[in-house]
Amino acid sequence: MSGTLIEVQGLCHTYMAGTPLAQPSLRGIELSVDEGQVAALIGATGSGKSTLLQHLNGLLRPQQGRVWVSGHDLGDPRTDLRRIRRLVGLVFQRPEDQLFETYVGDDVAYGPRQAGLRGTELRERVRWAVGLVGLDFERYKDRLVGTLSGGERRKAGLAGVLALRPSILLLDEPTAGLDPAARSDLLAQLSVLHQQGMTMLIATHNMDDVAALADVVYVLEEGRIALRGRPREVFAQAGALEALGLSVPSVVSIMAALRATGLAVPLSVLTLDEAEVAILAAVCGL
Amino acid sequence: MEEEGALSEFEFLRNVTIGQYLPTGSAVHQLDPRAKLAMVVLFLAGVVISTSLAGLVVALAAVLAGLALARIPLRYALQGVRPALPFLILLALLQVFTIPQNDVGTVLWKWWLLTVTVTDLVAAALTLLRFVVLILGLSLFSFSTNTTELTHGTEHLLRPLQRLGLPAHEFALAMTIAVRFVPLLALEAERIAKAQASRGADFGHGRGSFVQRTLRMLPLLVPLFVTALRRADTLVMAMEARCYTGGKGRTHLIHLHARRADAFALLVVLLLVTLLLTATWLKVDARIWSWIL
Repeated sequence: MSGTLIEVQGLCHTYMAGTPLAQPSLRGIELSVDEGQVAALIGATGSGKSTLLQHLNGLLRPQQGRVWVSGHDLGDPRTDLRRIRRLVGLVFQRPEDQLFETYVGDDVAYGPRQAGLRGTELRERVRWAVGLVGLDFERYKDRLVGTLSGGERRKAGLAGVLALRPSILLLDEPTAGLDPAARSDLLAQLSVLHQQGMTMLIATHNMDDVAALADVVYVLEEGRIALRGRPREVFAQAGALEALGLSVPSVVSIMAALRATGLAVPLSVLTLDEAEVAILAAVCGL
Repeated sequence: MEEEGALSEFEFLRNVTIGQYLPTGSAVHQLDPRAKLAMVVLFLAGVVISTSLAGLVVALAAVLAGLALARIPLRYALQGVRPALPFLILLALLQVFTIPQNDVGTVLWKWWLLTVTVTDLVAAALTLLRFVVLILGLSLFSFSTNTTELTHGTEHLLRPLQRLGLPAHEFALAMTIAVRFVPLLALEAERIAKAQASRGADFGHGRGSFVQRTLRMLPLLVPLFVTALRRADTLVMAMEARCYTGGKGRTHLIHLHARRADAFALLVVLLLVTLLLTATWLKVDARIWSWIL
């Protein structure tokens, strides 16, 4: 039986509050994610996705509203934030922000070392994390971070976060800037983690990522939740999404285009296989 | 609601006011950048040279008036002083407790090797006041002058030195980039701190002694340096990609015209600096003290 792991109520946030450069970014967010679920946060740039994610591991404290993660109130000044950050791992938007050590091995080891691991235990943990993201430990542990490709850097960043064995994973635009091969590679890895029971929140504006992974979708607009629901329900509202400056997964646009030509196909498909079945059914009248 | 300290654990930019530009469109913003540069240099020189407490108080009042005229929220400007405060207090304490070399004033308190005299207290007050006036003065300048104006103004003022071989344009640009990058580097430091904190680093939420808080910042230094160098590389590429080839033969879109308001403002600052220097020279402080006591 899975319970609610993350709960956000009435969350508001303003950057540089009280200065002439104040910028409101969240205006009353209501959100809840159950254990083992993958929730997708979609929204245009500036809608508040990154800000919201940073509230969930305590980097930003709630200025207004409540945030509960795994039973801990993140607005309570007595909450042990280091403990929260071991439970909740945040993978940043740009790997450059995430990787700060010279060697890959050192960078992945940073988190577990901060948590107190040393010697063989530390080495084994790093080996495990690097292997988890599909990189060869022996080949990559002494590589210079600056010599990695974009995809490798993202994997290294992810490994560094996974090395802490979090039960909740927050990902900020994980596939941005990746070529198609690296992208499907990463999505496959995330899918494996999902199957192993990891709770995930993914902020993205790539709809195809969402279609592949998400159990529940939240659409953000200017700091507020504009739409929420299962992926099929949300993507069926193509008009509403377009008005918010967002698109739908490629599959859904294809179905919409086919529909416009008169073919009676449903819009609630998420994968190519489903699309194939639906088109055949409509054409052959099965 | 929590107090601000807990909320802004990672908002480094909040306390960086030097290099920050606030377009409020005030009269101060409209002044010719050459005049403003001359005013800043004169003002800073005057404040640094002066040893008159009374003079510095007047200088402080002048800067505060300048901030008000420029429509800069006072609270925000004062936040720029906060990062320097621990250093200032340390410096002031050192001045108060060191043995004076000459001019031993009335001894107020003595314990073993430590002596506190009136001169010490005055010296400490001078140091504190001087720094505050300097920081506020510099901040006022950068609040009211944007990057382009700064480059323009510096370049114009340095042109006479070109005959001596000083590359005025390049010099001005290097200076401007340095000033503009202060808030940008604060943002970078913030990003790195967040990344480290997300993986367990303890930045202490602003608690702990001054020494503790400084030591906590050390792991940020190397990544910050690397990032700054990387940024410099990218900036050079971006400039070259837009056909930047240095100052030779470079023309300007906007030409600077000095107006009466500029001359007036410059005159005001000149008067202020004269005041500061005469107050020091005539030992106005001593006279005020004897008049009070």
